Amino acid sequence: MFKNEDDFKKIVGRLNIDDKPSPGHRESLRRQMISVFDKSGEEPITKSRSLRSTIMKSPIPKLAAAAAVIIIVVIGAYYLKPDDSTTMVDIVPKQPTPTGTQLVALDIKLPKPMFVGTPQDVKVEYLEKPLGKPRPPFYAPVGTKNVAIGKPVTSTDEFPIIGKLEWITDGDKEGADGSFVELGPLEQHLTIDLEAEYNIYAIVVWHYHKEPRVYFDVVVQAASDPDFTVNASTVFNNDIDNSLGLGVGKDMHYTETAEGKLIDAKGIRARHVRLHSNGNTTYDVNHYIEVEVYGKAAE
Amino acid sequence: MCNITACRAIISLVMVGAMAKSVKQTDADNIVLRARTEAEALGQLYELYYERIFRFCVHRLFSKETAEDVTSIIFLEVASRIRSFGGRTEQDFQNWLYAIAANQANAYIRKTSRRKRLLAEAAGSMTDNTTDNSSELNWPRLYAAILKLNSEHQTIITLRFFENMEFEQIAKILDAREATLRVTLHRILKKLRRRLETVFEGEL
Repeated sequence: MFKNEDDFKKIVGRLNIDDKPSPGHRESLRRQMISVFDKSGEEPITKSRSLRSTIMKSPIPKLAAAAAVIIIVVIGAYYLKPDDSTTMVDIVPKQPTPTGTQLVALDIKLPKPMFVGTPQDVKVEYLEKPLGKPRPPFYAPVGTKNVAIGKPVTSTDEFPIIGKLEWITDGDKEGADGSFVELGPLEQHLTIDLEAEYNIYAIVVWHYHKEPRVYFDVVVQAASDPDFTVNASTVFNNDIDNSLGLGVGKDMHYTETAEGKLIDAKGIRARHVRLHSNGNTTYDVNHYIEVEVYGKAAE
Repeated sequence: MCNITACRAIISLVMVGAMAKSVKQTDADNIVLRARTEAEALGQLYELYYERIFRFCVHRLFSKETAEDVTSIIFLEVASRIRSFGGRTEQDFQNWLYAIAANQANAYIRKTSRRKRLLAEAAGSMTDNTTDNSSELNWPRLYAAILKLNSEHQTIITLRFFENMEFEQIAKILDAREATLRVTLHRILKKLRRRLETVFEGEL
């Protein structure tokens, strides 16, 4: 195996790679390219010029254009207005509970935001609308706390590109370099062993919040055994095309922020929590800053 | 006296050499400038770079068939955007061309299904390839390991070791800092070595 850059260079130099192009492709591509070049020369300039001159000559198209802009702005403002009926509100359990359990708002400490303002929509289908205000409190039974802190983490990528797996449960949620773990490309998952059975009420995950991103195929599962065969359940799944083969997800894609993603686990009983992902809108690798699992010792 | 004559002769030779180099440089730069408006100049650039870009694509995408497809996409994008290209020298053009090539190759393998197909193809070649000494690192095995890196790291490896580029040029192509690239490359090689040591053919 190679030891350093020079060694690696020698190995690459010795490789037998068939990289000769076929003459047919070269010729046909040349023709296509020249044709595209010729077409690109004329059309846009004449079209835009004629369109602009038509608009500027007559006052009617000017007024029509202004009216259209006003209508678009009004409609846009109406639809982009923050809506209280979004998914984030739906996750707050109604009070009081039928069993009469006393509920309190979870005290989730948030990291310093790494960008200001409501994240702009990334072009991803079935994307949750940003709330535009802080997340409403999440209520859980008295005594519920983060039971994942300091617990062991294993992953499909045992050698993270950046960071160490133990950082995922170390309590550091800051978005800066040195806090996140980068797992390899393709689908990857990690599993947290809570080391005992808990009733889990909420799972909060921060993948990466230095910039607004959407992570694909986020699936969160919980089970009593490490093979996920006993009491196994899926508490979140936005793999809408079932690319991971874990079932078609019905949850929405969401944009990463400093608030993390809070998932209502509805008090399921489990010891192991597994989180899947499959790249994001910026890169094809996977990141985790912190995962918190809010629960109480199982009754 | 003799020494002075010799010195003059040397200076003249150096100047002629420098002028020749400068003229050559200007010719290549002129082609780039003319390529914005003249199809013939664009054709010349195409001939200069077609093979290099095709090779780059083979190194990034393993399959020659896929490399042909992506090479086509790259040059068609060049043809449609060259009129607004702001560079003035051949070096500018080269950096721009490789940036397009890197983006298109990454865009291609971004889809998991495509990446899996390339991995399967590499794994197939690995078992078919009986002439190679199994103790020696062969191309399919190295490619499979490289493909498991993130796409930016794959690009750095390809530009540095397969295209033999200097860090300065890679930094310009990827819009990154040279010092950062050096550190990143060190880390990538470490990661690659670990992968090659632990990943066996069966795992592909």
